[in-house]
Amino acid sequence: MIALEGIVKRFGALTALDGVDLTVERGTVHAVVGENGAGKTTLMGVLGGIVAADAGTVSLDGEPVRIASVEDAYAHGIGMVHQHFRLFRRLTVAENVVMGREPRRRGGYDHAAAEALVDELGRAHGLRVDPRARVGELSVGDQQRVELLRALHRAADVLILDEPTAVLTPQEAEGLFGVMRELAGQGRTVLFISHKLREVLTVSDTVTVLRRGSVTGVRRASETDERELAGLMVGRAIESAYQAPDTPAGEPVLRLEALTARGLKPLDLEVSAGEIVGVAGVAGNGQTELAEAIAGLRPREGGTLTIAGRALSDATVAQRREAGLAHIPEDRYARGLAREATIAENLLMGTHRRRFRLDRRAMNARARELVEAFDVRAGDVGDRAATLSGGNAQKLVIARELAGEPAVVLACQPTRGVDIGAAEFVHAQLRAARDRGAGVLLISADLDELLALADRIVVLYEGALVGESRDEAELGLLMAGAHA
Amino acid sequence: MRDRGFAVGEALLAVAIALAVGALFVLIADDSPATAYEALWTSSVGSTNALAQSMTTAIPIIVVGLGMGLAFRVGLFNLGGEGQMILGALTTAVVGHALASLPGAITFVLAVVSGCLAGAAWAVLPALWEVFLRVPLVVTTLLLNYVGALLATYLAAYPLRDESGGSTLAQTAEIPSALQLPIIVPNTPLHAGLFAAVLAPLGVLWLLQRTSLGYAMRMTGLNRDFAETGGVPMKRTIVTTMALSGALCGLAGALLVMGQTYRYLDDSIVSPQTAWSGLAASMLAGFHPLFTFVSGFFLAALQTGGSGLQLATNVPLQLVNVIQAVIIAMVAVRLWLGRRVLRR
Ligand SMILES: Nc1ncnc2c1ncn2[C@@H]1O[C@H](COP(=O)(O)OP(=O)(O)O)[C@@H](O)[C@H]1O
Ligand SMILES: [Mg+2]
Repeated sequence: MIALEGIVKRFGALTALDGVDLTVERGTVHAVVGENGAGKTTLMGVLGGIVAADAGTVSLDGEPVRIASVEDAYAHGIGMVHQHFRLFRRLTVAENVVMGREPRRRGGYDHAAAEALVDELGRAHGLRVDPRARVGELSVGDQQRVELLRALHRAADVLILDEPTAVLTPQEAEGLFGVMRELAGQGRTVLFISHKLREVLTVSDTVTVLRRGSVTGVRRASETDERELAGLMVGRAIESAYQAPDTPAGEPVLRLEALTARGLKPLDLEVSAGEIVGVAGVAGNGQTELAEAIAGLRPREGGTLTIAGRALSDATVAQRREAGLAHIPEDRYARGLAREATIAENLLMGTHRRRFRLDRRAMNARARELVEAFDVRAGDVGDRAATLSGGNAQKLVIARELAGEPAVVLACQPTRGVDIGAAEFVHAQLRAARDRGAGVLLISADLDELLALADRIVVLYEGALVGESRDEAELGLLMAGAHA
Repeated sequence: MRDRGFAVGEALLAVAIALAVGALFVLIADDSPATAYEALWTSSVGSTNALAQSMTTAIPIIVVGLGMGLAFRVGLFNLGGEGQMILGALTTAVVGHALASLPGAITFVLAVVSGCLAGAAWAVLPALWEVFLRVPLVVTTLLLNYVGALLATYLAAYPLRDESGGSTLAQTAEIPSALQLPIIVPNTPLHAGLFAAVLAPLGVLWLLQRTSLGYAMRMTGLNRDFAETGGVPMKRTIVTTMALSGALCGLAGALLVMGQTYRYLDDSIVSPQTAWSGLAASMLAGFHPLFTFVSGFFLAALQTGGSGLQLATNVPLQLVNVIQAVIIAMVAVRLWLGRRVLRR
């Protein structure tokens, strides 16, 4: 049994951990969940020898221990896989795995033995990676396997995985869950950090919930549900059930007729005023291409596009926006905002063309209104957008796009990487846009999000729309390509 | 306001380190750094005459630096300031001479405008290549420097050569006196072009901060994908920016002709490295228009002081080159680091 008691950690004035108790049975998968900034990484750092706690004790199987460094942690069989990989990209898989614990022969590094060892280790745990491949050339999922192998090679009995699924595709995540269950079956202990409640419930035995540095609940996974956990995470009830619109959908406001672009098969799709149409699909099946084709960022190869009754097949981005299209891009830092520009400047984008003169006072005043109305937690509107946290950066994008009451909202992965509170806010805003008569096209990799928001859900598979459903099982099949 | 990662403090630090390195070189050469820097000071800003000389040298440096810096702010690496400046100088000289019979004011306006247009044309060409053919602008602007310089040399040596004075130099005929900028400090070379060097930075600042075109330009420089997604027409913005950038470089050439040489004089721009000093000034200023005025003057003073230094002490003129090189190296490294940080 691994027990942390009364752990306190302060960073200056901020109390990251405020007397946290955590008890983990050996041979189980134990999840630690909480919003961004709740203290999950810090808590695991205490166990992994990376963070020195200000107070509290750590004991392993009843024995108090002192873990002052990563080496101490390894000596006690505790290994950590970080949120951000710590691999040498130019070295091979085998070299990365054995680094620091190399097999030697005649005083030198033994390539063959290292490769055999990594092969063997991978076989034993279902973590197959080519030992000779260079890490920099591997997919993210494979790089994570290398991290896991490295921890296992150092004889870790206790594996800490810090948000391991954040970078994985659903299939890769499934694979990882298999590995985690298997490790637990062998008697090892897996500490799994996440804020995705669905996967937490599928893979773990026990869940500890952290909120602002304190434990707000410990539950057996079999005896709780997403709703309860989400409530514990944010400290209040979370509304996530689907809410049908009060009024039936109106006229079509976005229409694609056999529209094609590079990476897309001819697509037919209609979104009416007052409805949310969801686009489901495994990442990489044409979501980015579809969004760019609609937004005017990807040249059309055929077909037609109509926005709010206007034929805009080859229109510029500006013309489409003029016609009433709002675009919430999938990657807020790539397309959604300019980190080095001020908050006010970020909020101005798209509406700046109205006059030749730029009225800075009006710009700042409007920015203050939007920041207020959309609850963006920001210092001053003259601060750089880079100072905003992920959730607030997304609120900034939402504020800019929805402020003009657009006729069509193209929302791409609008809650990716933001915490529950911000996600809830984004969902409320999209529902509100629908209820005042906008047509919303919601492209998301998160099926839960689609089921909670969308009135209709279509599935994108290999660049084609392959079906429509609101049934979770059927959607899963369509997403996997099992259409007639 | 916080611009592209180069604060005033860092610029001053770069200058301080460069001066220290320079001092070290003087020590190695067995001389007194104090004496050397005193001579440098005296001969660059120590007297009205020296000050006026430094300011005169600074005028084209500031304006061409402003032009190149404007493109850099938008993420367009316009390395063609030299060619654009040469074309501007030549065109102003030729147009001014050709239209000498018109009323002075008209000649003046037409000569200046045509110099700007020539610089703009020389910059728009690579912009069009980048936009429509995807040929990297950083390469073509640089190559067009050589084309521009050779073209101007040929024109000044043959078809447009001044035959009147029997001079053996490759130069065009003198511009009419209506075009020659008046001296503003008697008995010094400082001419009325100073007003342009003061007003141009203010104009660029106004454009960038107070107009929607400038806003679109800045956002494009900070994150091109963001600007494009927001509806900024990318092709048009690139071409417009390069036109403005080239026009400023052309203006720098026009000011050189109207204030100092009174004709297009072959190699009056390439050898003194005016355009490259301008780029260095602009980088040192973090591409901020007003700071470019200060750093442009600083680099010009350094050059002016260099000649005096050689006369007064045993320290060779190269000390100035060492100082400049260290500054440029540090600024370049800082910008490169800044870009890496931004990309993360
Ligand atoms: N090294 C540090 N210095 C200062 N503050 C930190 C440091 N590490 C974490 N924090 C702060 O402690 C809090 C908890 O962070 P963290 O444990 O990373 O949260 P989580 O992993 O749950 O998202 C956050 O407010 C974070 O900003
Ligand atoms: Mg974390």
